[in-house]
Amino acid sequence: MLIALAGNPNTGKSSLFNAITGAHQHIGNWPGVTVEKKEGTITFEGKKITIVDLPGTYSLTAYSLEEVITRNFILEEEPDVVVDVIDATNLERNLYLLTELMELTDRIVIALNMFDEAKKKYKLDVKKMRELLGLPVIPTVAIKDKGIKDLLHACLHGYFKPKKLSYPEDVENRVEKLQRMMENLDLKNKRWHAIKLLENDSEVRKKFANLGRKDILHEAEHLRHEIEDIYGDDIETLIASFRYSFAHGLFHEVAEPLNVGGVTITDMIDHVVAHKIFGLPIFLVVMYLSFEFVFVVAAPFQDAIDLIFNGKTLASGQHINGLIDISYHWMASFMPNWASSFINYGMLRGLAAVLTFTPIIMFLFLILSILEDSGYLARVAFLMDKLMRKIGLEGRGIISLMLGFGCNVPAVMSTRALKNERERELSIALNPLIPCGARIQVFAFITAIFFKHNQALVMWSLILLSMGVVALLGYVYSKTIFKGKAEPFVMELPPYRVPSLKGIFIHMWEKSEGFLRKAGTIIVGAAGIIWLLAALPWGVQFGGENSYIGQIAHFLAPVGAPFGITPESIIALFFGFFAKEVVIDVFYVLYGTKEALFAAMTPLQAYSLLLFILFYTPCVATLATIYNETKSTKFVLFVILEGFALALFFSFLAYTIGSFLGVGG
Amino acid sequence: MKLQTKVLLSVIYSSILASFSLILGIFEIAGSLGLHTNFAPPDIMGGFSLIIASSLILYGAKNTVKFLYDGLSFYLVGLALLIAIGLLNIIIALADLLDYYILCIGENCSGYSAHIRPEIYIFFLALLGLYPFFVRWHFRRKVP
Repeated sequence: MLIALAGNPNTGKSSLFNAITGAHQHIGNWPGVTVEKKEGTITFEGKKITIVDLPGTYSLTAYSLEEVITRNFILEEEPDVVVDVIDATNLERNLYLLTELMELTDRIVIALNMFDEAKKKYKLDVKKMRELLGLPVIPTVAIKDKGIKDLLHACLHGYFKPKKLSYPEDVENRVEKLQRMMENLDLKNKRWHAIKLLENDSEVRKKFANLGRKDILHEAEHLRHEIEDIYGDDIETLIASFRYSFAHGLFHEVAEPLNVGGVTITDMIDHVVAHKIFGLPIFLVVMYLSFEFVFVVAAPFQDAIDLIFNGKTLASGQHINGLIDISYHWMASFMPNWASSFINYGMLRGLAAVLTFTPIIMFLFLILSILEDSGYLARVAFLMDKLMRKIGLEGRGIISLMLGFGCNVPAVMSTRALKNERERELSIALNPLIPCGARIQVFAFITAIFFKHNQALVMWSLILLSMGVVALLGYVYSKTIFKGKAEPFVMELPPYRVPSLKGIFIHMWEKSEGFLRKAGTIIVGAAGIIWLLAALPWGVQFGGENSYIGQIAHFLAPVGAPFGITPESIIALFFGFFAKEVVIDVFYVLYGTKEALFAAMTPLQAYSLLLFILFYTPCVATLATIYNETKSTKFVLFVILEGFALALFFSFLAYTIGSFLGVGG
Repeated sequence: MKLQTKVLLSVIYSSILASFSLILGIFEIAGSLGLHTNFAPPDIMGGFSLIIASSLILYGAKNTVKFLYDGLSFYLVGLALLIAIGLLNIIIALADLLDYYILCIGENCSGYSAHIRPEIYIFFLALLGLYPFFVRWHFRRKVP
C-alpha cells in the first residue's frame, strides 16, 4: 500500500512522517531534481505500507518545482491514499490545498495536525467536517504522537465518498466541453486536465502540445476568454476565488473562532446578514427592495411600449393610433380586412404583449444577477439552510425557489445544482407553486382593477400563501413521496464583490433570452388562436356570445360556478396554459376595457380567480422543462394534478368562506 | 477632535436618525392598517424595511462606541440598508416622473407635482453617519 503525505509547509508534515515511520526511512532526491524525497516503510495491522513525504506546497499550480512534483506524483503514481496534513491552527488557509487535492484524487484522509493548539483558537466540529467533505478527518498532534494510529486506521479502512467542489455553471459547462474533447485521449483524470487548461497551466499546455492536440488548446483559450469576459477578471484569480469560497464556506461551517483575528468587510457583513435573529428579516427587506425596484422601474418602459404599439384613447375620446392601428390601415389598403385584422389585432398584438412584459423580466433577472454575482445569494442559501432542511431540501434549494419568482423554466433547470436526486425531484415538484413573473403580472393586472386600495396587501397575501404551501408540502413530501433528509454539503461563501457590469448583463441576457424566445413563439401563436375563436364564425360580433369563444364560455359556465369563476375567466385560464401572460390578453379580447372587466366580477370572485391562477397547472414551457429534467411523464402529470388540486381547494375555500361571511361580494 | 469623540458624535447622530426612521416605519405600517398620518405614507413593507434598518443601527450603536467590530458590523449594515431604501425611493420618484410624462402624451396634463417621501431625505442624512466605516481599522474584536 502506498500513502503520500501532502500539505502546506510548516504544518508538522515532517513530524508526522517521523512519528509514523520512526527509524524506517530513506532520504534521497526526486528524479532529476535536487528536491529532497523522504520515503519510509512500516507494517500496520499486518499490512506493509510505504509512506512518501511530498514537498510542502501551498497550491498545485505549475509555478514551483515542489508543486509540479506533488501533483505529478499523485496523478501518475496514484497512491492508495493521500494524507493532507493540515495545520489546524490556520485551518482556513490550509483548506485551499485540500480543494486542489480533491480535484486530483478521491482517496484523501485529512490529518488535523496541531489540534491541541487549534482548540485554543477555534471550537472545531470534526464530525461535521467529516460529513461535509465525505472524507475521514483525524485530529493529530504529531510531535506528541497523538492520533497516529487512528490516522493509519483511517487510511486502511476509511470511508471515502468525497463531495466534489463544483464551480459556477458558466465554468462547469466549459470544463465539461473540454472533457468531451478529451474523450479519445489516454489521460488520467480528464476533469483535472480540463480545469488546468482553463487555468492556463503551462505544464498541462505543454502536455497537450506534445500530444499534438492544438484544437483543444485553442478551444481552451477561447473558453477561458469567455469566462474572463463574464466575470471581468483573469482566470487564475477567478478559479482561485471559487476555491477560496469553498474553503471559506467550509471553515464557517466547522469552526467558531474564539480569539482576536483580522476582520474583513466580508466578515463584518456576514456577521449581520447570517445572524440568527436579523438574518431572515434582512433577507425579506432585500427581497422587498428588489421586487419594488423591478416593478416600479419597469413601469415607464412598459407604458412606453404599450403606447407605441397600441396607441391610446385620450380623455377627450380622441384615439392616438399606435403601430398596430397604423399597420392595420396600411395592410387593409391591399388585403382583405379580416386578414389585416388577424395579422395586426391577432398576431402583432400578441407580440406587443410579449414586448410589454420584457422590461419586467429583464429587470428581474438584472437584480437576481446582481444579488448572485455580489455573493449575497450564497449567504441566503447559508442562512436558509436550517429552515430548508425542515422541508427536506438543503440551503441551495432556496435559490431555485427564488428564481421561480422570475420564471419557472430557468428555476427548474437550476435544480441541477442540487446533487442529490431526491432533493432535485422535491425541488422540481415544489417549484411550480412559486408564482412566476408572468403570474405576478396577471396578479398586478387584476389587483389593480379590483383592489385599488389594498393592492400590495392582496399581492403579499398571495405570495405568502404560496410560500406557506411550499413549506407545508415540502415537509409532507419529504416525509412521504420524496422521503429522506437533505445531505450535508459545503456551502461556498465567496467574498463580497462589486459585480462586473458586463457579467451582470451577460447573465441577465442568458436568462431572459430563453423566456423571450418561448414568449415570442407561444404567446404570439396563442394570441392568433384567440383572435380566430373570437372572430369566427364570420359575421358574428367580435368576442360576442355567438362567437366560438362566447359559446365555449357559455358551455363552461357551470364548471366555475362553485368557485365564483366566470366562464370568461375559465377561457382565460385555459389559454394561460400556453403562457400565463395570455390571461391578460384574453380578458382584453373578451371584455374590451378594464371597466367592463370590473363590472363582470365581484372582488370576491376576483380573489378566488387569483388563488386559482396562483396554483393551477404551470405553463406548457415549464412542463416541457420538467419533462426534460426528469424524463418522466408521471412526474409531469403529478405536477399538473398537484396544481389543480391546490387551485380548486383554495379557490373553493376562499369563495365559500367569503360568500358565507358576505365579504367582497 | 479626538477619534473617539468623532465616532461618538457620528453614532449619536445616526441613532437619532435611526429613531426617527423607526417611528416613521411604525407610522407607515399603521397607515396601511387605516391609521393615516400626514408625514408617513401607508406602506407595510416599506415601514417594515425602515424598522429593520433602524433596529440594526440602534442594536450596534453601543458596541460601535466601544470600538468593537461586532457593533460596527450591525451599525454599518443598518446604515447601508437605510441608504438603499432611500436610493430606491429616489429611483421610484424618477420612474414615476418618467411614467407621468409618458402617460401624459397627447393629454392636457398639468405639471408634475412630486410627492417626496421622507425616505429620500433619510438617504442623504444617512450618508453623513458613515464616518466609522472610514476608520474601521481602529476597531477590534471582542476577546472572550
